[in-house]
Amino acid sequence: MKQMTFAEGLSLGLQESLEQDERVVLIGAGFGGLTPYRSAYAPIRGRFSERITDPPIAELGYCGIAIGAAMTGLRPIVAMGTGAFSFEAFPQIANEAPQAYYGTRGQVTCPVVFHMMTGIRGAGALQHSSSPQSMYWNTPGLQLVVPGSPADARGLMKTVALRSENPTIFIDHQRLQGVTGMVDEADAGEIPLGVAEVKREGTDVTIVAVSVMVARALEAAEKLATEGISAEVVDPRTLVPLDKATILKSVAKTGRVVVADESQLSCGVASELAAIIAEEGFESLRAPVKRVAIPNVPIPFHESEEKYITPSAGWIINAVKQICN
Amino acid sequence: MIPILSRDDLKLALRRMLLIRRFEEACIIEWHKGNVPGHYHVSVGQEATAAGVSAAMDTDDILFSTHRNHGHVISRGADPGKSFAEILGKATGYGRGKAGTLHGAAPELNVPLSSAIVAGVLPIAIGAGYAMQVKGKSNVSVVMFGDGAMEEGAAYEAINLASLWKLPVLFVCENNGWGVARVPGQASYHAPNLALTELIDLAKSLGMATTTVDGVDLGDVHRAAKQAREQGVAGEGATFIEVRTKVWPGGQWPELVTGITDITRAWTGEAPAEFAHMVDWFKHDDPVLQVARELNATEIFSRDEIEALDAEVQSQMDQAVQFALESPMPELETAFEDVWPA
Repeated sequence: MKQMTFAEGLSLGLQESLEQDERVVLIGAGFGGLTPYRSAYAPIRGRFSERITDPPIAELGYCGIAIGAAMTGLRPIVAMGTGAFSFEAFPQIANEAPQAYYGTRGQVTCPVVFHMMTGIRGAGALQHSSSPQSMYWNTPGLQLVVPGSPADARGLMKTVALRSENPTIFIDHQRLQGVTGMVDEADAGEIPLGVAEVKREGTDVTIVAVSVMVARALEAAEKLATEGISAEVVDPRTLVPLDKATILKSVAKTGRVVVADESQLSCGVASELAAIIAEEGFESLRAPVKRVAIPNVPIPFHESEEKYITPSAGWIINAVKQICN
Repeated sequence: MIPILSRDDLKLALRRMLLIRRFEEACIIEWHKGNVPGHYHVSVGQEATAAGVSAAMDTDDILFSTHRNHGHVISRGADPGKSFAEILGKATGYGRGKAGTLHGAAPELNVPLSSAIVAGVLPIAIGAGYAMQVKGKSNVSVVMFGDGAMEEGAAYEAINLASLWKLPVLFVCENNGWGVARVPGQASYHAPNLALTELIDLAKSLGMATTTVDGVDLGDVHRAAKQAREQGVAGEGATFIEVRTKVWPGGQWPELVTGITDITRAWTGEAPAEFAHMVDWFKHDDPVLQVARELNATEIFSRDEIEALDAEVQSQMDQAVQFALESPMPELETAFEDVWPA
């Protein structure tokens, strides 16, 4: 076991995927974005430069290339950069890749991974701070992977790059890059899709946290413990497919739930999870389901305003206290 | 011009042109009977493009198409019964009734996908070319689309990328002069919504080989496609082929304005009395009649042979329609199937 950053874990998973299957190719390799952790991804280019194709600034075009290549025998991983850039390729990602299998009696598969760095990153302003996970969850035919730890980043990347036949959205939050955790390099570490993980056990309240919110939920749970509230943190790890059973089991135990995701509230990830819990776990609930999400505004540039609308550990604590008293 | 092909291959090309025509006629007939759900797009007048390009393709080459895909799929040898069943939304169709007319495909014949977004399939098709390049295969990816596709940004990105990376791709643009909304009476190959004077200029300016051919001329289409394929396989990059097809007067909501095709019009070149105002169609614009006429004039096939082939194709299509009409609708639960691999 070794302590790693999220960036190092993901980089390891990418390198192992490239090593293990020569059909894995990279369209772009700008993992880590402009964060200081981007150096963790340098070995990818060092070791696999011949497997990397650096495309022009043509998101629509190169996502289409990846889809076509995936349909005809390669397993491309597209490093889209900022998640908002995927909107430039939305026609290909949302309107071509997900339906091919459905419309061809399952004869045409599309094993492509769209990796995108999402979320509020610090001065990203209006067009570099998007959290598009809920939009893609609303697109049947796309897998949606939302790791929150180094081991999950590594393992889920390997699973989708090496094993899955489906188009996948890989949500990688900008502020996850430096998050640390233990990774067992000796183990293959592949993580099955649709298997949530209880990141911290508790008895009073369940916090279902997604992606960057996992670390914030764990921080909140730590503080709540000092106040005598025992919080359980559940990380779905993948939204499509979704492990409802683990979430509902935890809710059955605690009777109270806060759902936290860093995307906008309306029709967002937190909203969908809250709806599922309300619909399928109603008998367990002893209080209303609380959602922690970005308010329905664009992301402002100024640091203080940006912070003002960013869901934090403090927001989770407030939500928990509203239903635990 | 007669394509340089063996007698058998010429017969196959003619057969496919006839089958496409009979297929599209059946579509229109069945639509008027209320049997075809939704809107659909026929390729009457564009048969020589599909047949000519297909005749230049290898079995392992891949073809992608758009909303106007019936002819392209048939030209690769698709089963007309399964194709027609798909258009009727039947369980026996290539896509089990989920894809419909807009997404004609025959994956086992290397026609994996048709996109109804006019330029949506161009980036995907060059992706198949990219995969061939990566895997070192001696094949090409062929993408058929209309002039309207040139109005979308995806076309620019795909043409730029294919040219930049010298991908083995044939861009086959069927310019029927329609664009998305052709102004009646303003037939022109300069699509009304494009600032381009010539459709090939964009590809040319991006350094791609280009050529413009006559869509009524099977030999011209075949020669261009064959040359483009050789170039692609040799690693010399993509080609943009503009095929200028004659505008069939049947319109976007198709009506059989030229009647059911009577192959013997090929010999007379005369329009029936009720279609006298469309004499050009019968005399030289209809590619099916024109190719039959040329194959007969050059004594490759006798009139009897061609008429017999047409009768055989018509009978095949009648059976295909019967099969499709008698096929069951999909079970409702199948809506939940094929979302993911099991």
